[in-house]
Amino acid sequence: MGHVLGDSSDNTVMSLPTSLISLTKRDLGFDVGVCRHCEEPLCLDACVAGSVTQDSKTRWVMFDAKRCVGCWSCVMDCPFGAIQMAAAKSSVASMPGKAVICDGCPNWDTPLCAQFCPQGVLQGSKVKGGLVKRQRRERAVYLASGVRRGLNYPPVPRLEADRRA
Amino acid sequence: MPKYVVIGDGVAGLSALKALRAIDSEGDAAIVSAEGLVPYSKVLLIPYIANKISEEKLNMVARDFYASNHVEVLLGARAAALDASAQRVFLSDGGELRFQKLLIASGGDPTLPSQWKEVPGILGLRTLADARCIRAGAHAGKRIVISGGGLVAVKLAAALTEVGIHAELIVSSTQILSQAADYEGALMVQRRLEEAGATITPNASIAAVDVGPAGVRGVSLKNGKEIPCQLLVYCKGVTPNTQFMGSLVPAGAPIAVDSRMRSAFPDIYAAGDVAMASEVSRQQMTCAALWPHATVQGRIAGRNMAGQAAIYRGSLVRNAMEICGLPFISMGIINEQSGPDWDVKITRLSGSYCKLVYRGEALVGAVLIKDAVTIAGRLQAEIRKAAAAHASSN
Repeated sequence: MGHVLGDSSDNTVMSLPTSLISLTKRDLGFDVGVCRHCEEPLCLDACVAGSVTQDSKTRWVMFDAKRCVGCWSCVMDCPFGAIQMAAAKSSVASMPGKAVICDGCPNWDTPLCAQFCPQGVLQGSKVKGGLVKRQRRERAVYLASGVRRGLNYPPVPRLEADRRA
Repeated sequence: MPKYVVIGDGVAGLSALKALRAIDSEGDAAIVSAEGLVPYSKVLLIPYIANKISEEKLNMVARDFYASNHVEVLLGARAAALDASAQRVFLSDGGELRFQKLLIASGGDPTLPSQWKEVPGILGLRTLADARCIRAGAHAGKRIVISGGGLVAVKLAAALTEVGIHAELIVSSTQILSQAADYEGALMVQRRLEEAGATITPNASIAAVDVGPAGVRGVSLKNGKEIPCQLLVYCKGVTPNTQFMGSLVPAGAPIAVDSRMRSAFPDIYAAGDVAMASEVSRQQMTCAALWPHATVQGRIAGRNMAGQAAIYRGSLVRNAMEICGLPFISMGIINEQSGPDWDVKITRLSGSYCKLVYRGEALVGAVLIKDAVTIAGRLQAEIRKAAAAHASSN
């Protein structure tokens, strides 16, 4: 993983990485917005600047902030809500106005979220990307979609649900 | 005789070449490139005009892309005529190409009134040449008037405003973004633009253009107002480049394609801004000229041309942009129609705006501003799910 995306490259003990995971509250628990490294990533199709690439060997999706022009197309198309636009004042301040995703903490043995997740929802595994196959991506989103007439923002599936699907 | 011929080196054409090369690395392929440049991203022209990116960053592929993929390039040529039954394309430089599979990805040209076409300083925004001209003029202090209130007009105005260049928008409808936003959403965008320094005149249209020896000197509106300017950028939509097809398609109309990107003519495919495919929220054939559609349509066409049966899941009209720090995303049907079936849910929360449009129980569209944009991808999935359910119940 040559691309350094979030602050997780800064692995000194004093400075912990900044979270690139989003949480959405649901009736029961939360949904975790984290990149699923889709087989045919929608963000890659949407990117107008060549900023999103997929590693030819590992199939991991990578974002190159140097090329990003902040057009929001990838945010618009990701069905998992896994892409964030770094704000100037946010903790990902090193790249304001650029799209960022979870980079899998390349410089750590286990991703920090997995180290600290007490429920075992988030787990680190050194598998190839392409984790969410096309059909499964569509189905997972369909099953989880919960927009009702209320004001609920539609949730994304949890990671456990992903594994079962 | 090349097996594959692609007309147009935009994102749809390139995406098709990549897809068919992944399946068929041998078959001869040729691409017709009207501008004769390294393929570049048209969407990046606006950040380029605002000096946010350099010219070489516009390139979509490496310079040796065609050579390393064994693709013959016909530079500076346009398709001039097509004989569908004899499977031949005639080029503007007198050349002729026979094909087994043809992809038409010739895009569109800005709709510019014919009497203005040759006037220096009046131009559309579609090519690198246009962008170079606007960029040079803008940074040299020329006054710019933008005719139109659509996405290109608004994005250009925002990009110029952000770097301190004054932009004046002349909009013929009552609101900007009349195709992409509801009234309230458009008003939020308009206010943001005006706060940042742009001037927007709705309900106005240009009655006459004052042309001097050096080019355009100003415009006068139908209400009598006169605005001096040295650049008039005309952003009033795009006409599909199908003139070379003669009587095969009506003048200025896009090419209708099926779910495998096939046109009505055997072995002729179309993708990108020139193609009209089925759209999920409206459930009708739509020319949804948008980057992700061009990418995916090109890929589907390429795979089918190379013998695979790839199916396009349908377009979903949508747009994303940031207007002077204000994120904006809209998708599907943005204005409810009259009738008991239609319903809207609007949420306003600390400056953000979320409008969801329903037809029956089905979500068919949304307008999202500021923080609400983060749910856009999930809403898209919801719209597609509702459309699939609707299609299977019929």
